[in-house]
Amino acid sequence: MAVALKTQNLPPIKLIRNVPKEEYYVPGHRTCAGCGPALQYKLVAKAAGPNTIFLGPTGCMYVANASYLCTPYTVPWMHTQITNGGAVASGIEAAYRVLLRKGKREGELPNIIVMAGDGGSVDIGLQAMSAMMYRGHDALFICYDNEAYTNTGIQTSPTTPYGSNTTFTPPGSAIPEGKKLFPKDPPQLVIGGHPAVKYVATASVAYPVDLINKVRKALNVQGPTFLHIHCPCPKGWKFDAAKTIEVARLAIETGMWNMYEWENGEYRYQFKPKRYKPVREYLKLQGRFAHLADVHVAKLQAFVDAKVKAPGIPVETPVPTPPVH
Amino acid sequence: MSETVSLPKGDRFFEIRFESIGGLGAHAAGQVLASAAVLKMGLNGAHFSSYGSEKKGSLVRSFVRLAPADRPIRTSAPVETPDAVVVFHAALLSNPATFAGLRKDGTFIYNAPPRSVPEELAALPSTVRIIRVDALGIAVKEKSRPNAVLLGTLCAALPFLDAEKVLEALSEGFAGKRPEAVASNESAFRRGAAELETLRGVGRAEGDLPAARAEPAWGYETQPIGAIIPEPGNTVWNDLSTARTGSLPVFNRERCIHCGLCDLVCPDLCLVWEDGEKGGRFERELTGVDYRYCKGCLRCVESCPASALTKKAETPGLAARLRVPLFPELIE
Repeated sequence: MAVALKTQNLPPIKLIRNVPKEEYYVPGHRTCAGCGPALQYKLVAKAAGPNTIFLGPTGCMYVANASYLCTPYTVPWMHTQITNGGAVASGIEAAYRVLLRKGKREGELPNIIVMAGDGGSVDIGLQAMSAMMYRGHDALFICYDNEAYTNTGIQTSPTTPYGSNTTFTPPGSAIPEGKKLFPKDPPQLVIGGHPAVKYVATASVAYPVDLINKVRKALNVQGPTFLHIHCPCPKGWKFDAAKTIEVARLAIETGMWNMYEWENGEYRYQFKPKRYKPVREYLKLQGRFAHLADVHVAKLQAFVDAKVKAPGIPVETPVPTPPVH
Repeated sequence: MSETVSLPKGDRFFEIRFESIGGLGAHAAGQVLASAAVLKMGLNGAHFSSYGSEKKGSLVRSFVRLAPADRPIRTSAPVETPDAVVVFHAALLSNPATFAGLRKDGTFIYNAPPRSVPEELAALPSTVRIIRVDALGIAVKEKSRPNAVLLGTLCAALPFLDAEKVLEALSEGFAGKRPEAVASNESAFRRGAAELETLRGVGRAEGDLPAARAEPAWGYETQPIGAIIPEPGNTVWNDLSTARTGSLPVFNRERCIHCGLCDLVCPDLCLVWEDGEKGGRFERELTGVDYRYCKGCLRCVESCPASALTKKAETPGLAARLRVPLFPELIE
């Protein structure tokens, strides 16, 4: 394309006091006490600034935020079906391009951000997200990962970790560990199959300044970008609402969550502890893992060990073979 | 199956309504009560709840309908004219719908600290039995939930409900999920039955209270244009005080170093900032907490490096006294 439609350069911030004081995600929304995704939403909205359009595929961040005729967003926002966040973002971006080309609109292409949950991005919403990235639309796709379908009552999703107790994977005598499968790896899914994507990063609510900088970096890039944000959910994971940040930090310290940026084919790791804590320290805070026996914890530990040893390379997950009937 | 229990109202349904906030356990309480009635008392019973999406802090109503064994329950309509109302959170007393439809010979149980008799209770019929129990206080002490306490109180107030059988159902419900909770639930249940206070001369109304039927706010001709939200950000008018479950953060300005860590863990903008003194040490200074939006998660207390924010038990009126409004020109 001839003209660059986006010339903005959102500067990175260094200190907490440089965090912009303007808010574009206002209070009064009916998320749970201690909500991780809502905190992430506030930080992303702060980072992106006023020239932003949010798209909200169905999920907690649509259902709990926008009840009938109410929204907490003070920037344009649109609800999309859980399946088609990527498709709506593509349409909005394409329409803006035409309006700008024909001179019917002044200024630049706005920041288009899809705020999808793990279901709206790498499960039900996967085809639309993949298509948006494949066609190279200039939008940021965020997967806020609370590791389950939580607004419908904690059902398992593809990013739910091994051994979780969800309403679809209850532990019992036949399957004592609850969830048997190991999770999908969304960033690898995006990096591996979408040549148009130039920037992918993982972030966590435990490191807000880093999160803001990653959002800004992603928005400065022309073309599709992807952020995978770890957002503990007190209700779904069954821990005390005050411990959201502690749980998020422990995920990084135990290797359950890895923080990295991937830019033009290069990996850059962050917040990598010198020595990883045993995974049990992360598990013991959460009720969803309370039923796990030592053998299951060992299996999860082996998975995490392999993951942190080979950064950037997808781990061969021990996927159980289906039972023979 | 044991011998059949007879209901006080003979042939009529006996209807109970739990008024609650998501997370306090009204749904579980209804489930336990109905299953105890059906499986252990030889009654017919039905239970269902009405709530929005699956989250803590929103309004939940849970309904239990009981009938003699030979009378099937074929309705699943909400309970509009209850024989008993159980209120899980004192903040709900300010909502008139909480009382709606209560029968004049009914029972009204509410959860509040000792000596707390809100004036809203005057709207109740004078003939109704009003019972107060400090369910939250007991639950916190016994490491249980308010629902176990209130079930105990309910069984004590309605003797035809066999307390031992309800307790059995409560323990069975938790034995599988959280075996460590069984003992603490039992002591909470027993204290709920023992530590209730019956109030006299509080209700002023006469006769059955009228049932509230929800009327649609908009109709075919008046509803706003579809698919567009004319007022973005209008959730600021919501009052989320009822989402707190007993504790709130209290701010001490003397100790505050205005570092801003708390602001980066609060998604509800509860922390109110103002520009610092010109030439002073701080660019922005924290002035207080807007409890209108605070859901009581206490992440700010966890994150505070200077102990300027501390956890306090919420007593009636405390939040109103300490509140610093976030939008003073908009909402008083």
